[in-house]
Amino acid sequence: MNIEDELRGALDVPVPPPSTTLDDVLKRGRRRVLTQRAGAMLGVAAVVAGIGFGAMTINLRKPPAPADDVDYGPAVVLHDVEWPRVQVARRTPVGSESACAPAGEPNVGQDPQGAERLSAWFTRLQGVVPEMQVTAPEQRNDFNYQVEVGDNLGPGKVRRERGFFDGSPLEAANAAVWATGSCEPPQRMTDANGAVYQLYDVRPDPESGAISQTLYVFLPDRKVFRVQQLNLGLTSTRSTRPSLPLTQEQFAKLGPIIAEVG
Amino acid sequence: MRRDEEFSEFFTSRFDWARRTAYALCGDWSEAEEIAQNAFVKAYAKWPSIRRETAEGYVRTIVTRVFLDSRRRGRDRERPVADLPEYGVGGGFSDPDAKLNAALQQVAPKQRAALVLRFVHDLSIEQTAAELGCSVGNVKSQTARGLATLREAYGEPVNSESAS
Repeated sequence: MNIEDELRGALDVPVPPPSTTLDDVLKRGRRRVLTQRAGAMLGVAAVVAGIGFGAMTINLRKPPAPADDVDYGPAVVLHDVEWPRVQVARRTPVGSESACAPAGEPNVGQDPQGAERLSAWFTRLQGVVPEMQVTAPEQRNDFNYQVEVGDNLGPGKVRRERGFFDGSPLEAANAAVWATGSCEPPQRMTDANGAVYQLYDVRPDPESGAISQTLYVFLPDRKVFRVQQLNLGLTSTRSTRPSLPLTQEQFAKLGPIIAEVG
Repeated sequence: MRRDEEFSEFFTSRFDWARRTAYALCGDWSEAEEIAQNAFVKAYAKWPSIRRETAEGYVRTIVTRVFLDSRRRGRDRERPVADLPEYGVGGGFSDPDAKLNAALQQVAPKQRAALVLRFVHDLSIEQTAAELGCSVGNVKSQTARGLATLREAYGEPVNSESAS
């Protein structure tokens, strides 16, 4: 018997009687739920207060509007991507949670992407975030390519994977509308060549405490790319910076770049 | 309450399994119990959004990550207790696989986690990568290095299937 076979039987060991009861776990679990809800409410209150304070401050610092200028612009400018959302009804979260079950995830991560293309993509990514440090990983693999993107807030990462789909890009994009755990439909843009870009809302990861955002790119040659940005360093399993490394606008630019360099 | 009923059923059927998994990782029944309990508490909090068919994998992921977090923080194993336990749980239990367990403890924590997921739970490389939150290449290298250390600690002659 070799060592792998020995390992396969490692769960077949006698277990001492447990000291944990179901009641213990239920009590701690309920406390955790209450704490999470209280934290979420405080977080929302803090965000609302922050936005209100920020808007008021900006308005106070703004010079008086010229009399003939009827629209001096909004007090707070959001640099969001202006792609329309896919026209389907939002889903209802399960129970008290904010998450919905992922469905229709494209099959990616099984196909090598080629060193030349990855190198070209890496260079273009550096161009999107010239103010940040972009570090290629020490160990690259063609299936799941990750780079670290960081600044003084800490390191994050961007990864890309490739796969193939059947049908047209639009059909594949429709099938992947709920590919992440978001209850809101994604934003979508179709370019002149028929490539479809689908940008999903930021999602929290319950285990690591990290957040991530996903962009799917469906190309006319039936290649699909999944690009994700996370506030995790390359070797981390816990969040390493307070926000995602790229703004939504910068992240969305990676779609057309992939369509160009593959 | 339906949530509690479903969760209770899951807890009853899988708690010992989670303890065994944690024990394979940490080699100490007391710590394994603590890890398993923490995993089920976290699972309870997320229970409405967990699909029943993936609940086992969800708990296994938490067990693995709680274990790795504890090793990353250099966890102090001495903990104050209010009352003495009624029975010993701290490694005194008779374990016929003690040699394997002792050898496993010589393997670095992340490599050990890769070995447990790959061989004890028979997960694919891709599934192991997803549970550990790392790349496929990283799982391959961690597995290969872990197997080499384990063989040396176990005293087994080199006779093994591929790490991949």
